[in-house]
Amino acid sequence: MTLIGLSAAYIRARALNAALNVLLLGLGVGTIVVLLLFSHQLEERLERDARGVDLVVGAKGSPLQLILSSVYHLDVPTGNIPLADAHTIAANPMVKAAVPLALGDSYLGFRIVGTDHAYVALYDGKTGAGRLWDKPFEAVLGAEAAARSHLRLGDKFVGSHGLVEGGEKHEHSPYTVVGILAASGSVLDRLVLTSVESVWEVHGQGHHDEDGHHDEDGDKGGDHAADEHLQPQEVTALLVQYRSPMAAAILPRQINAQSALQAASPAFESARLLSLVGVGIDTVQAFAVVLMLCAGLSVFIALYNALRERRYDLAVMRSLGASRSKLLAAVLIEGLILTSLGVVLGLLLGHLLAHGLGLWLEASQRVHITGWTLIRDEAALVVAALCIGLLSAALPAVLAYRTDIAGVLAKR
Amino acid sequence: MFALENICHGYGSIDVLRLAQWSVGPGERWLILGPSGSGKSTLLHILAGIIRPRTGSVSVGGENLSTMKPARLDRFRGRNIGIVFQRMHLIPSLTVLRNLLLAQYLAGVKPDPLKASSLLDELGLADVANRLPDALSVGETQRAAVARAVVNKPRLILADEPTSNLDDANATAALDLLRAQAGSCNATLVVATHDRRIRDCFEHQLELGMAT
Repeated sequence: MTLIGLSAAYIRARALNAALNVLLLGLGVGTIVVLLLFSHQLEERLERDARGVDLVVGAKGSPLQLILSSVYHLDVPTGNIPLADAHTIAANPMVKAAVPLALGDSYLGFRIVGTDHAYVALYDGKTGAGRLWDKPFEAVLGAEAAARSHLRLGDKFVGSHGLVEGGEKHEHSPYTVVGILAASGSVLDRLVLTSVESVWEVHGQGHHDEDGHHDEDGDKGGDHAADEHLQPQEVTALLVQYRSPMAAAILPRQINAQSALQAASPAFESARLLSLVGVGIDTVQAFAVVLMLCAGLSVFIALYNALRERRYDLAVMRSLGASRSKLLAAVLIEGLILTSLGVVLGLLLGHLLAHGLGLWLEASQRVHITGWTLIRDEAALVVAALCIGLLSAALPAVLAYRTDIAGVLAKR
Repeated sequence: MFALENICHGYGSIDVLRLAQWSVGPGERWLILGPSGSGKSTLLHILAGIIRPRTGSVSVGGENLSTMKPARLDRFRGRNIGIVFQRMHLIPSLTVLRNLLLAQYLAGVKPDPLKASSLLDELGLADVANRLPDALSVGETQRAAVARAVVNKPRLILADEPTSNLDDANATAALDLLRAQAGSCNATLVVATHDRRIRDCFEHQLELGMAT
């Protein structure tokens, strides 16, 4: 028999009420945990995938779309740009490195990216098996693409037109798997890499052979590069690294001045994207905070009412030798037990929900979110929730501390 | 066992209790008699250190309660004084056994389930040890309340109207139990009552009149 045992017995005696309080707090905490996990992992993901890319040059259109399509591989490209323009930019003295990307096809929903080896180096990618591509129609699979497609070294596969599954297949030009990348946790995992020339050749041939067919299918292939097929001597985008920070002030303006080209900064666009999504996150977060405060209020009301019922108990305990501070502690402990249960429930709910949503998102092959990770903000959340619990127990605890034993005992 | 001197206590400007001198030796059994409002409960509360009288000094077991620090007084009460309330009042959320363990814990004694169980056994409460107080009969509740009061082997047992809500048979049983337990603890017993049925059972009596 201890104070904790006593508080636990009181909670058990009002189990339904306690369950309601725990549930309320659990829902609030759980919602915030899901939001924290999502925004944290999303930001981390956006940051990691954009690391080392200072500027993306592509066809005119929405800058956000350009970034989403060329850096995160989540959207369709805005169009293509002439190779000659890409060369001019790459040769600019302000540019330290430029990586071309040729998009347009996919395999089982994984994008086939025509590029050079510098793209792998950008994300510190390492080959897990085999080697990088050298000749046209040699392909290297990202870790996740390899695992899902069950392709192994030496296997052949054909890409399909467009960026989602179900596009027309390029049967005439199969790729051979020559390498598989080790998992890097970056966008590389979900890509199929090959040379720019391979992509050109697929579309060069495809275009000649099935020209009419493509035009009929124009609407259906809406996710393809703005309905333009990649022509030889074109690339979809160019990822640029600056030589000095100075370039950030000059280069984008220079490029945007050209009629066919636009330059977009991943850092700027992803910040813009997060601020757009952020409004929604903030709203839900505010709602969750209100939920937590309600839970605190509910704990307060429960303890306050319980204490009125227990005035006689408190007086008897005092007469049994309990000091004032022991009664104060007993009520605080009761509040803390309720809040801790709510916090534990909330953490469980939040992580389970994040895991479930992660699985669901993974099925759509877009974003990796896992529930099985702890982030630092959660500690702050736990502390805040416990503080709410302590605060809501404070007034009832003081009332318990001040119980006038003789007065209560004298009441008949 | 205890001595009171020049006690005067009241609420507001009204005095409820005036007592010039009262001292009781160890092992004595006393009955405090008086009509409602004569200050019986107040006197018991003063003896228990629950209230400090407006004037006068209280010493129990050689310790001066009037000058004791509050926390120390609480511990002293838990260790040395057992109280039986008129309404018994066991803690309703705790089983009978745990009510006894709580009394041990709050008195600063290490909770001893064996000792508590054997006490319940002795009082014929073994079968209801794990029941909540709501499930007990009047007689069982009475015995459980006495058990809780004596579980720490107090030197002074105070009972406030322990029989007034009971029928004759239960009243006699309750009184016998109190006396028997006081005997086995070598404790001094003080019972406050207006119940005339039991006045002949005590050798010492203190008659309180209206103070004003």
